[in-house]
Amino acid sequence: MTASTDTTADRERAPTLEPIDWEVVASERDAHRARVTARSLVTAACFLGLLAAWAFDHVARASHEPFLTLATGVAFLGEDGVLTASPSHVDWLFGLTLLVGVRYALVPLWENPRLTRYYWRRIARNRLGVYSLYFLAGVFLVGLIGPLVLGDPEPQWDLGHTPPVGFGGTFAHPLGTTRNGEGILEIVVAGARVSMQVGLIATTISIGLATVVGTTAAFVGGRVDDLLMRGVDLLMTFPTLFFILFLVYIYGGNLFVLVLILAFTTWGGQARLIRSEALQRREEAYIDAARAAGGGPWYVIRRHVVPNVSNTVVTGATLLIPIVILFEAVVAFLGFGDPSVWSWGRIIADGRESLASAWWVSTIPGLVLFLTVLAFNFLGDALRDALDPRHEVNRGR
Amino acid sequence: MSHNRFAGVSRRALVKAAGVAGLAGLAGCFDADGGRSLENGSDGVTLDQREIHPEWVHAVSAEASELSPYRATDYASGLRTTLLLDGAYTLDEDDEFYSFWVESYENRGEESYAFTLRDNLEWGNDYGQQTADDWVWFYNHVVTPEENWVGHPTRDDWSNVVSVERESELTFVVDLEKPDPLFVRRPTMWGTQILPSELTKPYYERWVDGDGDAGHELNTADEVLEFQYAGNLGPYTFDRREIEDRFVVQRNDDYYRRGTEPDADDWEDAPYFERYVMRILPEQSTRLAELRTGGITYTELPADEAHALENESAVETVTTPTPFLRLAAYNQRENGWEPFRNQSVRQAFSMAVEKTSIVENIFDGNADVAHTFQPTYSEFYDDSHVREFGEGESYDPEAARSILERELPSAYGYDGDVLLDAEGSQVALTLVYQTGERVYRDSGRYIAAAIEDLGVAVEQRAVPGDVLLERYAYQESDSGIPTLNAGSRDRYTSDVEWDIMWSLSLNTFPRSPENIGAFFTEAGTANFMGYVPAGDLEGLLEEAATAPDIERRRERFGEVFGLLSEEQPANFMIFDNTIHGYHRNVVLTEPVSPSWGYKRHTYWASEDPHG
Amino acid sequence: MAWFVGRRLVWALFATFLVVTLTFALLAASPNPETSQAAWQAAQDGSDPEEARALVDQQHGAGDSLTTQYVSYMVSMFSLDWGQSTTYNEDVTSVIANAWVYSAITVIPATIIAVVVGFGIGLYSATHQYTTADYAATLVAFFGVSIPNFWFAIVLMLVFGELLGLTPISYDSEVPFWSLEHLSYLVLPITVLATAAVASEMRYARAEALEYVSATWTKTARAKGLSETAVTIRHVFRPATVPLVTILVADLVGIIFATAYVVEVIFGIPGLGYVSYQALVRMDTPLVLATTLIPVFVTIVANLCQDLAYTVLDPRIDYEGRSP
Repeated sequence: MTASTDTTADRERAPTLEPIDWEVVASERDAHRARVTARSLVTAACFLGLLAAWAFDHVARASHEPFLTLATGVAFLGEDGVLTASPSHVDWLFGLTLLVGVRYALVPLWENPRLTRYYWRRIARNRLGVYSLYFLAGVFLVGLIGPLVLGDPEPQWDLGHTPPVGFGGTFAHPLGTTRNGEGILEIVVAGARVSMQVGLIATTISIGLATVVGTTAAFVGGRVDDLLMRGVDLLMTFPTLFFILFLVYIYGGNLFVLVLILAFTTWGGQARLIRSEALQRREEAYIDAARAAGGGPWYVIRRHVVPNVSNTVVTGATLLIPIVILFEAVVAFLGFGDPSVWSWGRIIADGRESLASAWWVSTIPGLVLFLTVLAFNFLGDALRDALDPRHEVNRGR
Repeated sequence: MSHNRFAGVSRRALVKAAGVAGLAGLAGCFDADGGRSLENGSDGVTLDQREIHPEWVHAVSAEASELSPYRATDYASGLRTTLLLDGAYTLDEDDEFYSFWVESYENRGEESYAFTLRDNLEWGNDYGQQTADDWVWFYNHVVTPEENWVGHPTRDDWSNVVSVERESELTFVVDLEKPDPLFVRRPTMWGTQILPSELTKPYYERWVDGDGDAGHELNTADEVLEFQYAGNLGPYTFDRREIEDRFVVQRNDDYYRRGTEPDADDWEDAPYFERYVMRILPEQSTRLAELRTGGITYTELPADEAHALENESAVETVTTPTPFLRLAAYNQRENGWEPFRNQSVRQAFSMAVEKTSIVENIFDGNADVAHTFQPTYSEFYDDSHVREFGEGESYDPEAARSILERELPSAYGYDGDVLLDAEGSQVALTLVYQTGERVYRDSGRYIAAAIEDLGVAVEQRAVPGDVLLERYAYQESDSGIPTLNAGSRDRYTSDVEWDIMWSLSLNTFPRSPENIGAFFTEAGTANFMGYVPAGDLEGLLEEAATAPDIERRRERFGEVFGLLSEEQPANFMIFDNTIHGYHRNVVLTEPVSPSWGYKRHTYWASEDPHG
Repeated sequence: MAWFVGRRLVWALFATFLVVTLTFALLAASPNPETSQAAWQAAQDGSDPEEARALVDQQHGAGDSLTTQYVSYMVSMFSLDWGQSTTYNEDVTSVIANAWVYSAITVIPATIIAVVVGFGIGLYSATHQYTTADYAATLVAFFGVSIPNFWFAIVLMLVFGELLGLTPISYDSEVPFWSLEHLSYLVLPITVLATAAVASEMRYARAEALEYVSATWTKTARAKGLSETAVTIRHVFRPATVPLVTILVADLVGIIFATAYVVEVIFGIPGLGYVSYQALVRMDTPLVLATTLIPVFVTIVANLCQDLAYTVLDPRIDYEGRSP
C-alpha cells in the first residue's frame, strides 16, 4: 500500500490531500469481493452440509442407531469410552442456530479485530457482565459436551433418594439422586443443553422475525407499517402464556413444538423496539446515499438498516433468551413438558413434593436455572451499556 | 395441578365396581390396622370424648362442573352432592345393603324388589315428605322418556328394569326383566339421588310442551344449584360455593339419620363438625404441605408420596384397594405394530416388564400387581387359571427375545442386541401415556426401558388424558362420531399411530364381570385396542352371565380371566390403590375395605383439628 | 384529534373482534376434554358413549353448527350479554367479578410496591450510575427478574409456611378482608409477584431516567445551583414518569395473565388468571371469550391513552404520525 509509506509526521508537515492509488483500491475491492464470494460459498456449503446430514439422518437412514459413534479409548467417557450421538430434530435445529451464530456473530467479529477489541473493552468495564459471559460460556460448553461425557441420566429404580456429597451422599452421585435414582448432576448437565437449545433456537427465530418485521415496518412505512404494528399489538395483547399452555395441552409438549411455539409468540416487543430504532436510522444520510445509488428497498434494509440496528438486536436477543428459558421451565413445571427431555423446569417440578424430605432434587437445578437466567440478564445489561450510545452518559462520574 | 381430573372415576363407576368383600383372601389384601376404629380402642379414645368441632376441611384438586343430582355423576361433582343428599342406600364393607333413605328392601323373587323409605325424610322448600311417589315419578319421567331431556347420564343402569310401582306411601316395587339375584348391589338404586317430583314437574311439562331448554334450566335453576330442596336428607345443608375456591356446607340440624339404626351409636349426633369446607387447591405440593401442618383435615394422597406422609406424626393414612386396573394396551388395529396381533408376541412383551419393580419402586408399594382383568379379592378370580407374566420367574427378557426370534415373521431378526425389521432397520415402537401424575410418566419410562431391552427402539409420548383418548383411543365411525370401537380393526384406526398405550385405568367390575365384554369382545363398545380373542370369550361370558348358580358362574368367569391372562390383549399391569390422608385427630369409624368412606359422616375428632 | 381517537377506537373494536374470532376458531378446532371423558366413562360403564357425548355437547351449546354458534357468540359478546359459563352454570360477568377481587388484592399491592420500589431504585441508580449502590440495586433487581417465580413460591412456602410457621401456606378467602390476618395470607403471593415486577419497573425507570440525567435542561438546572435532589425530582423524575406510567396498564394485564397464574395455582388463589386458564382447558367458550376479550380491549385502549398522553404532554409529537 503506497499510502502507508506516508508517515504521520509527513502528513502533519505537509497537510496535502492523501493521494489515492485507484489500482490499490480496485484490487482491494476485488480482494474483498473474492473474500465475500468465498465466504458466501463456505457459508452455503456449511448450511447445505447440515441440511444433507439432517436429511441423511432422518430421511435416508431412518434407523435408530446412533448417528455418530466415536471410540475415544478413554474409559470414563460415555459408555466404555465410546461416544455416541443420536441427534433429534431439536439438535439439528440447534446446529443450524449455532451455524447462524458463527456466521453472523463470530465471523464478523473475527474479521474486524479492532472493532471486537473496542467492544470487548467496553463490555469489560462491567465486571459482572464479563463474569456472566464466562459463566454462560461454561454452561454452554457443559451443555454441548457434558451429555456426551456423562451420558443421559440413567434411572436406578431401586436406589431412591440419596443426598449430595457433604450431606451424607457418595461420590457416585455427587449432587444426590432423584427418587428414581437418577443422578442430579447428570440431570443438571442434560438440562443445560435443553435450556441452551430452547433459549438459543427460539431466540434466534424470534429475533430474526422481529428484525424483519421491525425494519420492514420502519423502512417501508405507510400502510405496511400500520398493518405490521397492529399485528404486533395483537400479538402482545394476547394472553400468550395461556395459549402456549393450551396448544401444548392439546397438541403435546414435544420440545420441538414448544420451541417453535415460543419462537413465534415472543417476537412482538423486540419488533417494536427494532422498528423505533430503524425509524431513526431511516433519516440518516447514508440511507439516502444508498437509495440514491440505486439500492432497492430490500438491499438497503439488508445492507444498511439491519447492520445499523444490530446493537438493539444483540441486546434484545440476550435479554430474550432468559425469558424463553424461564417460559420453558414454567411449562415443564406445570406438567406440560416433554417427558423424554430433561429440562430444569421438569426436575424442579418433580422434586417439589419432596422438597421437605429431599431438598436437593428441586433446589440444585433451581439454583442453576436462577444463575443462568441471572447471567443472561447481566450480560444483556452489559451489552446494552456497551453498545447503546445513549448509555454513554456520565461515564466520567 | 388439576390434570388428574381425568384419573378421577365416576361415583357411579365406583358404585358399580367396588369389590365383593367378606371372602377369603380379603384379609391379606387390606391393611388391617388402617382405620382407628373404636372397637380397637388402640389410641385410648372413647366415645365420651366425641363432641362437635367447628370444621372439617377437605382439599380437592378441581372444581365440580355439575351440582344437579341428575347430572352429577363425575367424581368431583359426586363429592359435593353427597354432602347434601345421602342417596337411596349404600353398601358396607361386606358389600351388604346399608340404609340411608331406603330403610329396608325385600326380595320378592329374583325379578322383583320392594324398597321401603324411612318415614322421616323431608324435602326442603315445602316439597313435603319424600315418598314412593317421588321415585315412581323419577322412573317414569326422567329415566324412561325416549329423549333424555334432563341429560341424566346413567339411564342405562335401569335397562333391566321393567317398571317401578307404588305399593304404599313409603314402599315402591321395582320389577326386573331378567332375574338378578344381585340387583341390590347394582348401581341402579345404589347411591341414587333424586329431586322432589314437585320441583321437576313444571320443567317436565314445559319440555312436553316443546321447550327444549327445560332440562338444562332445571339443572341450572338456583333452587337446584343451591340445594334448597335438600331438606333433612343429607348431613349438611348448603351454605355457598365460591367458584374455583371452595364449597361450604353447614351441619344439618334436622338430619334424618341421626341416632337411627344401623349403627345408631355412630350416627347419634352425626355429623360431628359444624361446617364441611371443600377447598380447591390445584397444586398437589400445597395440599400436602397443608396436611402436614394441620391446615386441612383430609385429602387424597398420591401413591408415591404416601409413605413419606405416613411417617409424619400429624397424618394418618388409610390405603384402600380399588377395582381399577391400569394397563398397557397393545394396538392390534391397522395403525399399530402388526406382530401385536400374534398372541405369543404380546406374551413376550409382557414377559419383559417387571411389574413388581413398578409397584415397589415407582408406586412405592401403593398398588397391586395384576395378572388378569380381575382383582384377586374378587369372588370370580380363580388363581388356578391365571397365567402370570412379569413377576418373579415369569419376568424373563431372555426368554422374551427367543420367543420374538421364533414368532416374528422371518423378515425380522436379531442383529446382536438389535431387533431389525424387514427393511433392515431397528424396530421402533411408539409408547404413549398420559401426563399429569408423575407415577404414570415414571412407569412409562420404566416400561420403555424394559422394552428397549428387547432390542426395540421406543418413542415415548406423553399427552393429557383427554388428548390420549381423543387422538389415540377413539376412531371415527362412519357417521363421523368418535367411538372407542368403530368397527373392524383393519379399517378403523385412531387419528395418530401408536403401538403401546400405558396408563389408562379400566374398571374390572368385580361385582358384575360380564361388563368386561365392552373391552375384550371383538365388537365391545370400548375395545379401542382392536383385540380379537382367539378363544371363545363371548361365549364364555354369555354362559357365565346366564349361569343359573353361583358356582357355575364362578367357574366360567375363572375361565374367562384365565383366557385373558393367557392371551394378553394388554399387559395387565397394576391395580390402583386409593390413599386417604387424615388429620391425626380424626377418629375413623369403619374397617378398611373397597367400600371405604360409606360411614364418613360419622367420623369425629378427638380434639379440634384446627383449633 | 377526534378523527385520530375515533380511528383508534374502531381499531380497538376490530382487534378485539379479531382476537375473539381467533380464540373461537382455536376452541372449535380442538377436542373438548369433557366430551371425550364423558364418552369414555359411558363406554366403561357399558352405557352408550355417543349419547354421553351428545349430552355434553348439548350442555356446551355445541349442538348447533359452527356458524350458528359463532354468530350467536359474537352477537352476545358485542352486545355485552355474555351469557352463562358452561362449567359453572353462573353468569360469566359474575364469575369474572368474583375472580377479579382475588386478582386485585394480590396484583395491585404487588404493582404498587413494584412501582414505588422499582422507580426509586431505578432513579437512584440512574443518578448514581456505576457506584456501589447502583451495583447493589441492580443486583437486587436482577435477582427478582431472574428467579423462577414458581420455584421462589414453593421455596418461600416451605421456609416461611412450613418450617418457620410464620405465614399460612395457602390462601384462605374466608379471612376477614380488612384485617392483619388477611395480610399474613397475602404476604407470600405478593412478595413473589412484586419481586418479578420490581425488577422490570426498575429497568424501565433506570433507562428512562438515564436519558434525562444528561439532558440540557438538567444541566441548566444544575448550573442554576439547584440541589441534586431537586434536580432529580423535578427535572429527571417528572419527565421520566410520563412514559413510565403509561406502561403500567400493560404491565398489570401482563402480570395478571402470566405471572399471577402460577402464583394462583401454587397458593390456591381463585383469581382471574386461574379461572381464565381453567375456562380454556375446560372449553367453557363463553367464559374463554370474555376472559380473552377483556385484556385485549383494555390493553388496546391503554395504548390509545398512552398515545393521547404523549400528544397532550409533548407538543412535539403529533398524533397523526405516531404509532404506539
